[in-house]
Amino acid sequence: MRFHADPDEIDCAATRFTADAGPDRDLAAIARLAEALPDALPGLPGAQIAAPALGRLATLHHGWRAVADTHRDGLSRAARAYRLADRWELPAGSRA
Amino acid sequence: MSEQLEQLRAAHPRQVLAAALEAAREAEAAYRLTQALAIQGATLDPAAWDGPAARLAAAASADLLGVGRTLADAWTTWATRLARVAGEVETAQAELRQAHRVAAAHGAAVLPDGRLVGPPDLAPAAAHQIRGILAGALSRYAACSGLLAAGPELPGRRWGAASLGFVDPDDLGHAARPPRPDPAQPGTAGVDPALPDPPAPLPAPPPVTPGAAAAWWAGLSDGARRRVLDERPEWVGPLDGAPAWARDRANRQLLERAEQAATAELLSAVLADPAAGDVVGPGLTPQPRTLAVREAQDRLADLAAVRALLADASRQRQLLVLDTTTVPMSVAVSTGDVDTAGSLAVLVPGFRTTIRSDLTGHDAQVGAAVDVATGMARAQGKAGPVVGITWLGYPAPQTVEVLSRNRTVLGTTVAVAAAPHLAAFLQGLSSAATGAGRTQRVVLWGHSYGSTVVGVTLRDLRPPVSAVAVFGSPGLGVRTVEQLGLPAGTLFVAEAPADPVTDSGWFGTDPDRLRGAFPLSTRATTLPDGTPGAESRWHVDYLRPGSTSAWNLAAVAADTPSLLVRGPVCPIPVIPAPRECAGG
Repeated sequence: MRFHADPDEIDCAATRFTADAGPDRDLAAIARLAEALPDALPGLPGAQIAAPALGRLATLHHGWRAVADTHRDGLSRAARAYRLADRWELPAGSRA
Repeated sequence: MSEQLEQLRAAHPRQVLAAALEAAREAEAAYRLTQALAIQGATLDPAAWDGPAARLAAAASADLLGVGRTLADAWTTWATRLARVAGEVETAQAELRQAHRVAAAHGAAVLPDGRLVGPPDLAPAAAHQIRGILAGALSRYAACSGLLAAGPELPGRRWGAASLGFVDPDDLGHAARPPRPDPAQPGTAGVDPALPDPPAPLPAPPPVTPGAAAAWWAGLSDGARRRVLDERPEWVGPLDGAPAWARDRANRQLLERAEQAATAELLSAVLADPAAGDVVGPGLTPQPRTLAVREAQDRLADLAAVRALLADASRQRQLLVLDTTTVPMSVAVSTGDVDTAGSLAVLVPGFRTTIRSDLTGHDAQVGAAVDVATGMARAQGKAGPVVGITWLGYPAPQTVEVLSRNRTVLGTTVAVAAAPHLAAFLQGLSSAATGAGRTQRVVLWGHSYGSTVVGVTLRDLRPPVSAVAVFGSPGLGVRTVEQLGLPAGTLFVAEAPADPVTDSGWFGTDPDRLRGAFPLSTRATTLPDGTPGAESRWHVDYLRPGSTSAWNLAAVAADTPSLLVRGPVCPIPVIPAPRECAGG
């Protein structure tokens, strides 16, 4: 099993990701506005359809952001693990 | 009609607009996070991290990127449709008010239930007009339902979200989708025909140097190339060394994304504008109140100029560069197929150039000149057509930046910063041609400050160039031709009468006083083909079709020295007196 890793590069990617991604957004605002659409557009069946669809999109967006953050944290953990492995000179297969 | 009128009156388009702007903010956030993922993917190249864990991480990152793009696109579509609905409802309510006004003008009234009451002598035409306005308003309002029910058109199976485990593509939309094929139906044999063949594996990201990039592209299978172009256009669009057709295809995809991102950015900027409530009308037409709004509008205008040029079917064009990460963005567009050209003429324009105001005009002049050059080349048996490229790959200095130390047209800082980009672009053209087993002549046309960019690039980085023509030049940043590293007899200089820039010698020796430079005529004269050549005057007239200078620039591009019209030779001073020869 061949591999190589530069923990600093991985750490750098994780850190830069945090900076580039910007702060997480509160998706409650769009969810509230979506819920209010049927009242804002009375008599339009399309508004009844759009409201839950927007809410689900917000939920998916939230989940996606959470997975992205987990991915970022995973990179940081990987960088730490590689540093430890280097320090303790673990066999290659245990740190791939 | 009574209930419908009541519903239209009770509608709140401003709430819908608020939802549209919030959706635009989500789109912007999704684009930003997607961009962060793309940068991360590019940062973590196999040279830094390789192995099973790295491949898993790369796969997860790719999945996240795919989902993110879909989310961002969905938000943008929602934002656009909600904004349109808000505008339509406002318009319908305005029509309702208009119906009341027209009725009142005829001494009539529209009752809450929609009935029209008025004097006995109410003209039938007036009654018809009022009822027509009412019906139009109600029809407009009802049509909004269809806009909302259609929902965003989401891409189907392009993403590979399996490793994320939280999303089903069908969950993202609510619109009626075509039914999935029933695997039990005869003839389908359990195969979903919507699914493509198993894709080729996604290769490692490309290297950044043009020669290595050309080799990377040459080493990809057709399937891998298709996959890269479909899924990672951001790898290929800016890839100096990739063939032009691939860059064009990738950049057109990136253009579409950039347009969506810029639209979302504009909507978001409008919302952030403290006067947003005043400036957003039914047509969602923001007025430039804040810097953010103006910048977003400029970005959209730049993209619109690129889109309009590509939509012009009068000639084939290739979008060779589209970098929207810079402000202003960078663009390069060809006037033909670069991959089959015998010669290329690359125009580097100068001071005050912007995409939105100059791309179309430069393209037209470059196109006309290379058409002349192609005729010259054919007449003398030279290989292939001559294709032009308008290279707006650097942020040209602007008038308002004259007093800026780092951006002023009076210094070489901008040129020095532009040089690596121009050199890499030229090296990429050369590497792509070499990789395809072709030889291709590349000629640089440098106008005004663009000639300084050309000079500094040649002086410092020595890109592969066959010849250089500069016109309206304030100097090349050198004191001798030898400092440019060009073969003998391949530097050409045009100076028009009454061009105040040309004799300034602001950056090094005045180009027409460089020993070894060939002077090109810009005067009215009879051209070698017997047609009249017009005089070029002032600073921006050199590429005007029908002018002697445009003829000469074409002859340089075509490599037909016998067709050059020589200009007056300036006396070479014994001691050059450069004003500036900045080296960095």
